[in-house]
Amino acid sequence: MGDTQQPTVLDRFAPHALDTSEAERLSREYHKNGPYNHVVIRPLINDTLLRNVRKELMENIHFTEKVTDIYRVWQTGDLANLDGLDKKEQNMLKYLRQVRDALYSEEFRSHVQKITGCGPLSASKKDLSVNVYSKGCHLMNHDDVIGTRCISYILYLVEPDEGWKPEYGGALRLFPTLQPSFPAADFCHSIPPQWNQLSFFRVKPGHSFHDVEEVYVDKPRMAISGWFHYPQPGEPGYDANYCDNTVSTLQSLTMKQMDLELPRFSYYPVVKPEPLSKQDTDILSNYINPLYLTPDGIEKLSKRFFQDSVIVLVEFLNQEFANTLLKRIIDAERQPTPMHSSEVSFPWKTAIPPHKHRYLYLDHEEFGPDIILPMDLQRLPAFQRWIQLVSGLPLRSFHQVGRRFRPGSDFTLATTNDTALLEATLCLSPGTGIANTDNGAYDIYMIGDEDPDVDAAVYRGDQQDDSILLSLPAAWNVFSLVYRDEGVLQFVKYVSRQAESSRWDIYSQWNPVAE
Amino acid sequence: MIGRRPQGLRAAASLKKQQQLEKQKQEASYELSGNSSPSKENGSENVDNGEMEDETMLVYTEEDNISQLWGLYEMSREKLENDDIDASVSLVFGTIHEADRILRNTEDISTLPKDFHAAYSSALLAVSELFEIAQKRLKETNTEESYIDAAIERAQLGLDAPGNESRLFLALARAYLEKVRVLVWRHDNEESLANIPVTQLVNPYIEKAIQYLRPLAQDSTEYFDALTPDSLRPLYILSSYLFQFGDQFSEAFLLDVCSIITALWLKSVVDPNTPAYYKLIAQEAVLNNYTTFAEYYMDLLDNSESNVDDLINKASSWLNNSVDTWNVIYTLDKSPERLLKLADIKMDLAQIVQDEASQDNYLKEACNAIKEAQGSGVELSPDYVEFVEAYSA
Repeated sequence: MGDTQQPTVLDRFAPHALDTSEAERLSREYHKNGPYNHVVIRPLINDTLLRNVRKELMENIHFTEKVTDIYRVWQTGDLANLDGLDKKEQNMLKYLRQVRDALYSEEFRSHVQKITGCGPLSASKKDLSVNVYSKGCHLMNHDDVIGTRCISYILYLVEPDEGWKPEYGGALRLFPTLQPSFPAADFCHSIPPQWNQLSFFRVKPGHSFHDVEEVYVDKPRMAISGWFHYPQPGEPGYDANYCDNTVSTLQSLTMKQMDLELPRFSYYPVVKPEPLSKQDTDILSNYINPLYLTPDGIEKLSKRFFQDSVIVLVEFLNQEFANTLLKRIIDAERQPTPMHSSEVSFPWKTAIPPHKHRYLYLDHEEFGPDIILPMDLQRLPAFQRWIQLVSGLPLRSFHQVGRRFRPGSDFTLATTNDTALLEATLCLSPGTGIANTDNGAYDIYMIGDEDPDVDAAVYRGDQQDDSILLSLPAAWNVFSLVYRDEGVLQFVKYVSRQAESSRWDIYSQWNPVAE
Repeated sequence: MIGRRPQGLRAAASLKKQQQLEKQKQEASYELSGNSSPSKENGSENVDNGEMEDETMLVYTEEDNISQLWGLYEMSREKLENDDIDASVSLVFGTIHEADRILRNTEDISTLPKDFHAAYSSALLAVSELFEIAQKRLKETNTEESYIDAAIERAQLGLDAPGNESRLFLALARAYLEKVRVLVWRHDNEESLANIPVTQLVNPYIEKAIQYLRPLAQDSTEYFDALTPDSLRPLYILSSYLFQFGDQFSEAFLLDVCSIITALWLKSVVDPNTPAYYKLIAQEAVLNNYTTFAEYYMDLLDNSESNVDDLINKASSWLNNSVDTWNVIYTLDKSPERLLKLADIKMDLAQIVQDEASQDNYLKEACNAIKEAQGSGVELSPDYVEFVEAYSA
């Protein structure tokens, strides 16, 4: 008789995992942990049960790769609806279902409340999925604030017997906050995944910033991740104010004054549009491939740009100048790459906040022998006349920034634009790894999705590729010019460590004269 | 071509997609109907509609052009600093071309600000500075000095113009000092000038230069971005000239000029973001100023039997200023060769102090500096070796 009986909820947990004394110990730990309250429980689940879950997932679940501006991960669909599966499917995932029900059981929710001191948690809203971070996968900085989320958790299912070393990557990394909604440039706490480990933290708007470190090895970092929500309508403890008070990361991004944000962009005037003079051409010939400077060449570029609103010019800089730059950049790549913001020295600075972007940058007006990138080119009146001829757009102001996207570190997340902009990117990224789009580092323009509940910048996976307007790999000596109409998303994809070298570019935005 | 606007990336992509769909429909319709007549090209009509001219008026202010003019000139200095002289010359000519274009397009020249004249003057002066390269591109047979004269003339035109005078005063001072350089050279090389005392020839320009440098050195004049160590290079001419002909000027005058020169060098690197190599240039110029002044008083000591104590105090004071500045330099660049300079200063101090104990202390410090340099791999000249051996004996 006993063999056929379902295990009780407590049996699904590791011995003593839900003891009151354990809750008290974890509560003390939770409240003292920084940069914001969090705790690590290990082990949590009955070991045999969790091994069965892992086996079950490996054999039966189909994972879909999803790539957006903010992550690259293999993911299941929403597992809240496990009960809706047919009997055969339910049986294939019976252990996963047991773990899910254990996590959302009254016993465990009460345990979490004791540890964190939070109010009641929803029993009905079971919000979780299984993620696999394979080599190169990552999740950029964010604070998890969406809707009624209260507690964020990750239950790791990495290889149970081999163990996971910190150098494998895949850690949950916590960031301190400089001011609400403004995380610091560098994480200050790292939690590597371990078998049967549960990490969780309170979801606090503008504070609970974290990311998932890239996985550097060919070992899957499997985890069940999800959220406990505040009570839903009809449940004990329901409070409508919870829903009203929470603000999503994107909303807080736009609502807050970003006084601390770097780089700060000041716009500089642009000269009047005029035909290129002989002197203009002579000056530009020091930099640019002469093919792009002839009247005929400019005419062709202009027509193409008028038609497509984009041109991509290879071998943009002339060979002599490009070779000089190549040597400088390769020399820089041979130096140790500064990673922590404290290692970054003038004239380079670190772009912040990291839930928006991270890269090293040079300011608009930088000059001198220490400057690797040719920041002077676009400041030339002759160049400004050239770009107005090619684009067909009279321009009134612009700014530029020299950038270095370091492998294993840097990215920009998708942003939209309220007004039409002309954007130019001179990409100066030597190397083959960096040009391989499997390693990220590409610049992408895409149509923004109107549905706020859908990941705004999903472009690989379920969604069709036709939302992508333009994808530009990191490459050597390529100049792209884009007339970006309102509402177009743009970002530079996280550069994987596998790229092995940095993406170097100069990115400029030009404001057209109003129509 | 400017004025016909592109549609934007999304709109263009959408139009292209629509055109493709239309084409597919036409092809399908053609196949279904079997109609041999050509279909109307709806897509091309859409394209034609996009070719309407944009009548938007363009409004620019002259100030935009002038800030661009300065940017152009500054880029030429950047290229020069990177040893790309050809590019620098191109940019200088580009600046002059740009300035001429602004003049041609300006109805009322009196509205052009001082900064315009300063930039134009600076570019003309740069031609003289780079004359050996520049003249190969020039069709005219103008001399190097004619560009200096043109720079002076252009800057003088700016004196009555509106706007802030800082850049203009700097341009004038630099041009006058370059004039000094050329005149000294001509005096040494042209027989027609041999009978005229060089000071008579040059002093009017020295006075003019100082007249325009003095306000820039005042604390009340704020730092401005054109005041860079590069822009102050003509001060070397002033320092060198005063050192060479110092006996013909009053001590008060020399002190005045020295304070102006020092203040300008230090002001040029007051920005916290100034690169270290700029600070080095400025501090080295200050050090050179101080040691030169110390030598001035030491020379007076050699030739004077009165006021000995006063001269010793003054020379000692300037040498100690030199030590302080040397310490600043050494924090910026710890090249061991620099230790020899410290040793030189200490030996000078030993030479002028009267009491034996102080003298011995300075010699000890000099010896230690030389030994430290030697220990760091610096190859010593025989003079230093001899000194160390003599002192150690």
